[in-house]
Order: sequence, then structure tokens, then C-alpha cells
Amino acid sequence: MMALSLGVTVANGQNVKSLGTMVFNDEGILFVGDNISGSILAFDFTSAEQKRNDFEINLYNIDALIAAALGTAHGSVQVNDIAVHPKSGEVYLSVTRGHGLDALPALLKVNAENQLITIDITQVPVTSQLLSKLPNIENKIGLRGTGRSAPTPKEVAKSERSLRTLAIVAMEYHNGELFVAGISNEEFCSVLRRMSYPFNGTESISNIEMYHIVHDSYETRAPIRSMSVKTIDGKDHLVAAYTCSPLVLIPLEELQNGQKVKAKTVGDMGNGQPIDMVPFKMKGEEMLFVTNNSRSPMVIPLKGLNGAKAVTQDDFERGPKLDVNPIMPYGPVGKPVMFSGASLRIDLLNDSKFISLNRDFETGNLDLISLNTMVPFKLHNIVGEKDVPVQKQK
Amino acid sequence: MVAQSSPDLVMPQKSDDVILWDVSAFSKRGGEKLGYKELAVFVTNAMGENSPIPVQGKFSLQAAYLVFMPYFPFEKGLTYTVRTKLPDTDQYAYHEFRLEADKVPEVAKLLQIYPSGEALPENLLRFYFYFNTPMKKGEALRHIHLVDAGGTVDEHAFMQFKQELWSPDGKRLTLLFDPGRIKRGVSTNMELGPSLLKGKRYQLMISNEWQDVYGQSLVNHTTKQIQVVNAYRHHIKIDEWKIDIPKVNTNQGVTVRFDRIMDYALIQSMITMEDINHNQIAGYWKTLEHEKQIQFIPEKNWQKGTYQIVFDHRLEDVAGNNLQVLLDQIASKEARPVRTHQTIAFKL
Repeated sequence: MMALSLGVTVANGQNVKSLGTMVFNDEGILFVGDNISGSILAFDFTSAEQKRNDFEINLYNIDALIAAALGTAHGSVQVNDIAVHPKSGEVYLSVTRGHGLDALPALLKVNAENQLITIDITQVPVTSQLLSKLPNIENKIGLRGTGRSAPTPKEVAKSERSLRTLAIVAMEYHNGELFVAGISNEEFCSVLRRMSYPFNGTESISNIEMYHIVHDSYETRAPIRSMSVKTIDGKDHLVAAYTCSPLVLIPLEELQNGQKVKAKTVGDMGNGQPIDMVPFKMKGEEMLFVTNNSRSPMVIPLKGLNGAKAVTQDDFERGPKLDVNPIMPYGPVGKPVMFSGASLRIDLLNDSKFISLNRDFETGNLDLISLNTMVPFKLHNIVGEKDVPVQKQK
Repeated sequence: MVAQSSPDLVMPQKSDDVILWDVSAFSKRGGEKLGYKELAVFVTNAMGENSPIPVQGKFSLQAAYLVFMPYFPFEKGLTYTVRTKLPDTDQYAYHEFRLEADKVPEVAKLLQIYPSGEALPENLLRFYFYFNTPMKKGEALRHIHLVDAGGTVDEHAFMQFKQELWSPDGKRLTLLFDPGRIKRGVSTNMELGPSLLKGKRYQLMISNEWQDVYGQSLVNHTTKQIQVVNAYRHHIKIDEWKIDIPKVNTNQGVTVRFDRIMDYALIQSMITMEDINHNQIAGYWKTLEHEKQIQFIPEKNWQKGTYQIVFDHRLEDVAGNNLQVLLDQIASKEARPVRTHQTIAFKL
């Protein structure tokens, strides 16, 4: 739901209406997207101590803890994103407290001692940049085909969401620049914004088109869901994942203001919506861990993207393709891996662990748990051979 | 645990209140800082269970009090438990508080429109709409229409504001006619003419599609009839008003008969009853004859003595003329002495 709340006024005078997508740079500047006011905030947490790798975090029922800390009822908080501080390893959480007109943004963190701490964002040094060409807050996501069934209340609720909630969907920081994926107010609305940090009030906006293998169509409106900047074939590229779930490459040098950029589609993970793309190393090899709200996470070896063929409609039989189509999943999209429950948000906690905001498979609770990058799994929901002790008869 | 009340602890009455706790019995308050160990607030669920961790916020010391200000306001409809440490022990006391939730009324109703009468002056400045429930904001002009006798809607009758004029509780809307159409000689007045024309009839229509903040539509469509009479273009002279005085040792009302319809909302705040020593007399004002009269009903019986009714100079008639100036008076034409109030005295 779109909140038009009173907001919280931070140190530079900006009225923060919501806190959503987050990313840290290496120094500890936390970039947070505020879709409702249409701005990006850069909170300065650079003074943190270096102690990453020293701990792991496992906080169960974290939404109940957040609700308590914020003085509200269990159902009144929603975690929008998580991000790990590059020095302290502390996990920051952007949260919406309350619903509708009463909703307020909140920022919390979990420290090395596994304590949940509310951050008084009015006291943190901050700069901000207002985005241009924002989707009109009054325009809504449409209600679309539900086959022969009447739309469910959840489908109707989705259709009532403002397009503004898609203004800032994913962010990446690279080499003094912030890359922001989302939609604009244009017809060809899938955009990548590029702005230097420290902010100077200007941004470059490119419109992105890509070929979608599963839909067999060229798409210009769906926003990039998650992305990462990586060197592919010797050049800096954005590796980006879209809903249903194409994997595309965009050379950074093509992202010029006002340009319409054709992304190179190199693969398709199949139906579903990507959530996060976390670079990590597995036995020294660079990998991408891509979570999805409808499938197992994929582990994609980065080297497989070098020399990958960019495909068009001419490379396939025409027509939409489902997951069971023999060509799916297509391209160098890696392998699905075993995973514990469902990850709503994930980041790299340290060299060997992910931190995941996780929906537990059995309890349905929301937990913040550390998972090994090699085997992203907790033993608590499976019982196998090694769990059953050998029972000797007397 | 048993909830206790404590005179040392000041609980919140409103969402944005803090908690104050007298800590003068604590020896360490000057040195070591007092915090969650000594004072913690928990959200308490319907089962009476407290939240796993305390509500987070800021502590400060003010005189004898430890002040706890939560980062986010306490919420209406929730129960909170305050845990306080007993000095020099490991024991705690528990105290509950609850901020009552707003009650959602069973139906949404437009209770009254002011001015309440049908005969209204050509230069009427504003309407007040009183509802029984807070209404959705930002859409008033979609639901309120001024229609002439021929059925034509005047789309430009009212002032368009970015923000509508609502009372803090969201139950009273003030709707202004476009003053440009009332003030003579102003361009919109000359182009479009006045919104209301003397001698004509109009209907003010309020659609029942208008919803309150809870999503309930108004129970009825409302139509208010208007017969336009002479504009109020002459100064208010309170010595032309008549009063009916009560008998001593009764609680009869004192009635003031105006020479015109006065502004309903300002009547409530701009008129007071005093004795000769400027002590306010307890009681209340009610409006009669569609705001052409007001009556003061005292709480206690009248005693012998001299009383005065004090009218703040900001009191207005329904055309926006106050006790000092006319709304569309040309400033230099006539200078009147600046006063803060005027009075009518009477002796019992």
C-alpha cells in the first residue's frame, strides 16, 4: 500500500516518507531509496569499527522483535530490505511501521551481539538526491488477466498499488557512482539512472529494452529486479535479472543520458521474480547468488557469462515458453541450489556466510539467519540418516 | 504480575506523550545512567503477554524525573506495560496503560451545514460542514456542488486550495466561496459575476458518495436550499443588537439578537460572559434562529450585579465582516479606531 504519511525529517531537512531498497558502498555510506518522496538518501555510517567475519547472526521471529522495538503490534511492520555494513558486518533493515496514512519509515540494525537496535535517523549525517521523471503517484499497477477466476483480494490489492512503488527497485554502487533501476513516467519506462556520489543534483537516465525469451517479446516497461556490476569480457557490465526471469548484460559505457539501450539477453532462469543478486566466492571462483520469490536460488558462475551469446527472437521457436519447455532454463544461468525456507531478502554477511531474511518452511515465521555460502541450509527442518542415532538392543 | 498505579509515574494520555518517572529515590542517577534496566515499556498483547524486547527510545533526566521518549509514538488501541525497578532491590513493579482507539461510528453522517438558514446574503463567505466522523480529505469539491434554479452547476463557486480547510479532528470542513467573486471590482467578480445572486434560489448538493476515512459512504445525499437576500455591506454596530436579560436567582438564558446572521464557528470562540471584575461566568452559548440569535445559559443561578458580554473584534458575520472592518472595504476610505473587543453590559 502506498503510504502518504507525515514522514520523518532527517538532518539535511529532507522529509523521508519511506525507506526501501538499500545498498552500502565500501566506506559505509548507506544508500536508501524513498519511493514515495522519489529520492535517494545517503546516510553516513562510515565511522563504524572493522569487525566483519567475527560473528554470525540468528534472530528468530525478527518481525515480532522489530514491532516491539518500534512500540507497535506484530502485524504492523514490514521489512523492505536488508544490507550488511562493509566494516562492522552489522545488518541494517529498512522497515515500514504501520499502514496507509499512518505508516512511518524506520531503520534498524542487528549488531555482532545479535541485539536489535533502532537507529534515530534524525541524528545521522545524510545527503539526498531527488529523482526526476518519477511515475505519477496516482497511477496504479493494472488488474490483469486472471483466467476464468475472479480476481482475488490479493490481486486487487496489487492492482491498487501506485506505480511510484516501482520508481526505485534495485540499486548498485560502483566506483563513485550509484546505479538505480526502476521505472519512469515515460511510455518506454524501464530506466537505469546513474548518478555520481557525493550527489550533485544531476542524474543520467537511460531507457532499457530487452528480449524476453519466456514471453517471446521485447520489453520496455518491466523494471530490473536485481543487478550487480561485474567485469565481463574485460568490460564493466551490469548483470541484471528481470521478472520471469531473463538474465541480461548491459555495458556501463552504453548508459548515457537520454539513450535507449538494448540489453543483451544471455539467459533465462524461468518463471518467477528475482529478488536479490549477491556476488560471492566459492572456492575462489566468483559467483552470483540470485534469489527468486518463486524458485530455488540460482548460483551462477561469473566466468560463464564471458563470451555468452546475446539472443533475439530469431534464436527460438516463436511463442511463449513455460518452465517445462525443453530449452528452459536457458543459457549460462547456473544451477538451482538447496535452500532453507524462502529468502525474502539476502546479502553477504562475511566471506563464508549469507544473511537471509527468511520465511521458515515449518513455522512460517520471519527469521534473520546466517547460512553457509557453500551449503545455504539449516539443519532444523530436515531429519535424515545422520539425525537418527544408532539404537542398540540390550 | 499485578498492575499497580503509582503517583511517581506519569503515563501517556496521547500518542506523542512521553513517560515520566520520579527517580529521586535512586542513588546512582547522577553518575551511572538510568536506562532500560530501570524503566522499560513493553507492548502487551491480548493474552497479557509482554513483547520479547522493550520499546526503544531516548532517555533523559529532567529535574527529579527520568523521561522516556519512544522513537515512534505510542499507538491508540494498544496496551503497554511499564516495568519500573524498585530502588536498591532486584524487584520490579508493573503498570499498564492503554490509549483508547478511535471508535468507528456505525454510519457516516453529515450532521449540519452552517449557516443553517435558507435566506443567505449575496456575499456569503463560507460554509461549515460538520460530520460525525473524520472524512477523506482532498475530494470535497468532487462531492459538493452549487446548482442554480435552472440546474446548472457552478464549477467555480468555491475557492480551490491545495489543502482543504479541515479541523484537526477531520470532522469539520470550512468551504470558502471564491473571494474574488464576492469582492466587487476584482477580476473574477467582473468576469464570472458573484456566485450567489440576490433574489435567486440555489441548491447546495452534497453527494452520498463521499466517504469517511474508514471507507464508509455518507448515509444520505443532502440538499440545502438557498434563497439569496441582500448582501451585508454595512458595518456591524453592536449597539444595534438587542438583549433579553434574565431574572436574578434563575438560570434563564441571556439572549442577544443580532441584526444579521453571524459566523457559527466564531460565535463559539469569540464571545464570553464576564462579571464586572472580568471573571468569566461558567456556562455555554447556543445559537438560535439560524445564528441570528445567541443565548448564554449559566451553570449557576444569576446573582445581583453588573455583567458584560465581551465580543472579540475578530467576530465575523457570515460575509466575513468583523467588528472592525468590512471584508471588501477600501482601506483608506474610512479609518476606525483599532480595538480588541467590544462589550454590551447589563445590570441585574
